Amino acid sequence: MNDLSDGDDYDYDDYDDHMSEDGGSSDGDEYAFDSQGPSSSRQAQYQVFSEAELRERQQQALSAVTSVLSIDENDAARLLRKYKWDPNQANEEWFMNADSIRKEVGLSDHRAPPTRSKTAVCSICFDSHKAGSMCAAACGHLYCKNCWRSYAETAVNEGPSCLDLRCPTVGCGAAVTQGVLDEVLDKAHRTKYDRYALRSMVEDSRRLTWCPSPDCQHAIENLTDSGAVAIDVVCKCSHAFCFSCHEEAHRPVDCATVKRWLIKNSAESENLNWILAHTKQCPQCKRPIEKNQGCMHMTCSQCRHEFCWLCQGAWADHGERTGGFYACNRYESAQRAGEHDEEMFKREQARNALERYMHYYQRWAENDASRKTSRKAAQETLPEQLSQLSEWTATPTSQLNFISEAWDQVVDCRRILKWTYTYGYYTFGAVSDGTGDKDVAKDVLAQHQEFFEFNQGQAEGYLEKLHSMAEKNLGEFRETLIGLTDVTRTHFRKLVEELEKGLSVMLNDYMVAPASMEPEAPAPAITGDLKGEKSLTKPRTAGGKRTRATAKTEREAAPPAQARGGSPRAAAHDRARGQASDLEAQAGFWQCSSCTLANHDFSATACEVCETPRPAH
Amino acid sequence: MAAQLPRRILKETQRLLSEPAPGISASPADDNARHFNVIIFGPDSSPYEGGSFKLELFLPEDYPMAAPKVRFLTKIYHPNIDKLGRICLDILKDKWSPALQIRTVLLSIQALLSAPNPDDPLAENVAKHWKDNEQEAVATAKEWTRMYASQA
Repeated sequence: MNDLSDGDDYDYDDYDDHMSEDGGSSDGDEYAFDSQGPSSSRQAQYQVFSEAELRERQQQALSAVTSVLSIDENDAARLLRKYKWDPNQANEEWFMNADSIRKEVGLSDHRAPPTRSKTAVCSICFDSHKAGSMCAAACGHLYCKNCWRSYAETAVNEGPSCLDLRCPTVGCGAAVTQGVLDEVLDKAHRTKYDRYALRSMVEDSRRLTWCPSPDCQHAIENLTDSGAVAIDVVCKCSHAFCFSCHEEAHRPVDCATVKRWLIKNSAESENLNWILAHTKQCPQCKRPIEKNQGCMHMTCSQCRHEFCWLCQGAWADHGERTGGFYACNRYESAQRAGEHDEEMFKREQARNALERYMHYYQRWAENDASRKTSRKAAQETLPEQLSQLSEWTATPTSQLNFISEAWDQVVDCRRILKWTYTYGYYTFGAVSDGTGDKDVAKDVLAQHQEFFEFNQGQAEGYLEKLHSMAEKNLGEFRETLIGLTDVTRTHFRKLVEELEKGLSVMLNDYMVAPASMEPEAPAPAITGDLKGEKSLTKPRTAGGKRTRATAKTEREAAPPAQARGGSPRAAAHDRARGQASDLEAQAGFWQCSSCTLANHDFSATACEVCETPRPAH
Repeated sequence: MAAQLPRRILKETQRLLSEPAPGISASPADDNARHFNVIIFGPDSSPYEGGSFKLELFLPEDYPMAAPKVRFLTKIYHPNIDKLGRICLDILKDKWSPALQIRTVLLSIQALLSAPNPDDPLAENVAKHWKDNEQEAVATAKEWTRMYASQA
């Protein structure tokens, strides 16, 4: 991430433009590209610094000030801290208003005349010392070295505020100079002081932040225009996190949603929901009871109260006249009269909400677990396997890099996939329980949900394929794996970018793009698209269902190229084919049906590598 | 406390005893030379005029690098002093400097009695009273002074 290589990024970036015109990737020249990073990192809008590099950077900032303002480094550091380590601003402000800044930062430019007398009384310890053995800041207030030492050490032990140490004289406020500090601080305190100084640069600056991974000493600089936007960054220690909220990287979901989701996962609220959904209270002692088996005759294990599970009346009232011990007439009649409706409805709703949450949470958690194991595999066992493989096949390890790349991709995609479930949970709440985004009409939302699930399903399909392929870990899969890594990376990257743009935009692009991009597209594909459009604008009907069925076909048919050819069959199939060609055009490659290589040359009639003929359009 | 008393503390104590600041008396406790019994007389033309306020002052182990700890023992109605006698004064906290002394601290507290600062309150309700109705608050302060701080 440190090797800045302008424009030398993934080759598919060139095709990016017809999909994203807003330029979520406004890659100006100053942006470095992350040439190794997995798909989720936006083209490197950030840079990782090691501690040494940070020191270097700090030194540069200091020199930028000292060379212009002719003040020493210690003073320059104070000035820079005031201006959040922006040398330009520091210099400018200084020229505008040097006097008041000097006063504020404690840099007086007039020096006290040296004391004439040979001895002076230190006004901290009240002892008299030889004037020569005493120290003073620029203000000339003399204190003995012992007192200076305790003063400075106390300040260092108190924390980063020691960086703004002033002369002890009341009302003086002169900054303590580097010379005095060098003279009195021992090595341990000096090191501590320097660490605070380094930390202050990262902590004061909005553009810099520490990697939150334990024991990681790297800092990340945000290179985007505003400097503090939420971007996913990957540290050199391989920890991927969000620059803004410091949680694990979470595109396409925003920081606030992640926070809500994490709180929800940890909170008791779901326990309560479960209790509400699966238990009834004992009518007497009000303890919640879960009925897991047996008849309707309940005996509370706590208060021994006997009651009927159905009508919750005392069991004593039950018997032959209420319809026998195994039925409850009271319940039936009360239900007919609608008495239990409200309670039932509440319980039903709680159960639905819980099930919905469990659905998303399980998938979120599964992907998370899978990400962790994959990551472990990639970090621990893979290097060994690779060296073995390289021996057996007599291939240099550098040529086997594609395998670790594939693994990195798997890890990365698992994380994105995980967060798409959070996205789904919060975006489509209104369809099922009315908690989601109120601005979007319900039918539009349902349509969005289908479309989202289709995309998510496809991404998931690619990922599963890549994952299983990577697990085989055999040399002959080279092309397959490289191609698949590429396809999966592209797919996930686009998924993230599109979701961030919003589903409406995405849906529009999706339906408009093929017509404009593939004017020579054959008739079946176009009719397929029209049908698709119809079915998509008529959600919650048979058409809507069909779309989902198509999604399945498409998923199974990956690579999409395979869906081509063959005689026209059901409408659903036409649609699948239409989508396949759209997808190819959007993805910027067509995939070989035999080796799955991503071919970038659309005019080619056969696969670049295995020479299998490309299926006819 | 077996450690020898730093010369600074000895000298400060001597000076406090030999040339006391006007309106302030401070003397070390018999059993602990770091513990001072202090009396500050209410400054003239303040609500505390005529009162004599007892305080305790303690010099911690790392004095003078750390500030002395001071607390009012006499009840006082003041926006910057709470009901436990704790004092909100910057030089007792982050503005402490080893060049300050017991004498300067006590003079600052005396000045705080002359000029209460309800904008930086410690006792919220007193400060609110002071801001809403200063006249009434001053009357309460005088009343408290008469009740708690005037031994003949």
